[in-house]
Amino acid sequence: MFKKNVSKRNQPKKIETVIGPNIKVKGNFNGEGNTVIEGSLEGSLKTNGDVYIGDNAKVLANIKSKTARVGGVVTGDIYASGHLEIVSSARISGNIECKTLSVESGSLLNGQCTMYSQTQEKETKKEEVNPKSKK
Amino acid sequence: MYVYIYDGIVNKRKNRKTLIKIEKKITDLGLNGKIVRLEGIKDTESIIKNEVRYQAKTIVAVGNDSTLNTVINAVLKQNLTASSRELPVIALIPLEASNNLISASLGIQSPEAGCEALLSRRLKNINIAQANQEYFLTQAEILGNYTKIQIEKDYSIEIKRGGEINIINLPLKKEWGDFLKIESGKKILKLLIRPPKTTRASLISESIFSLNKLTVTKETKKIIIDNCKEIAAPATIKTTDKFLNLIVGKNRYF
Repeated sequence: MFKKNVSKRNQPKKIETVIGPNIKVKGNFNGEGNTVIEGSLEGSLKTNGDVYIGDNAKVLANIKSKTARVGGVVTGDIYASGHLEIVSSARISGNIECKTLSVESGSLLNGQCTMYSQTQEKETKKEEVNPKSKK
Repeated sequence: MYVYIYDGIVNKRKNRKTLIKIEKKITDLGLNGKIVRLEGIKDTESIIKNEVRYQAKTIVAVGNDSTLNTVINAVLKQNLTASSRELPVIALIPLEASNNLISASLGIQSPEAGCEALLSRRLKNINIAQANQEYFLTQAEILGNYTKIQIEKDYSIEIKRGGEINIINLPLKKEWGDFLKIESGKKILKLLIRPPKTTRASLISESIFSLNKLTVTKETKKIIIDNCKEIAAPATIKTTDKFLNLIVGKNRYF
């Protein structure tokens, strides 16, 4: 009666790309919108939007996105400029970088975790704009 | 000036009554024009190209999906550098229910609706896609159990289980229009992969990719564009810089 559909939980509303369960994507995937992965991906994933990795997904790639929700098996580094959500079914082998993080019990993370505060991010941006200012 | 392109199917016995109705309606609405019959002509494209050369303002395809595809190819191949303003407006009057999926997509559900759409002249500037050397308006369907698709030079997609694989410029099904949120003026193709036996559009089972260019490998059996024309694999399918003004109805799918 109160059972929620777990696989659809927190899925982004406006979706640009969906990699379905029977699909295997190989190569460098560069997107602009939100991406849902339910199948498998090998290579790299870069998007300005949110990434949703389903509970049965297999990802062998480095991921760079705005926010990310990880549910499946990920071998590679994850960089999220915003929030990173790791749910209980996630199996991550790689480093993670994010601003805010939530980890559910039962999930597995083998790798380094780096977190940025807002002030740190502003400083990095300033350095990027004007790299000589420090010298 | 209106030029009506009559497909060979107008001479079928079952279509005679409908054709008489169409001609009567066109006369009543004051939209008469030149009639060009394609029956028995092998090189149909060159006949239509002649009409474009003689500066036809509106070309009306009377027939089915195949008639419209022939008209679009002839118009675009006649003048490769022209902008959509310089090219004639294209319209469709569907003659029979079968093989007429494009008319429904354009919001023209019946021959009468086609005549009325001509009168109301609701124009939509639509980007045209290309598969090898052939132009298409709506979609390219890929047939085959195992398919490998290369998206530009960046990545490839392997589809293991056969199902429906469509590269969509304009949707041929109403639910796809709502589901994929396709905009006719944007130079983007949507690749929609549906596993077998999927009845409802859902985000869990389907795969969707937005792209500009893809290559279908030779393992594919065949590719059908605009629900009528077969293209041999391997094939390159891409968006083009070409736009056409089409007369559409109110209840179109995009």
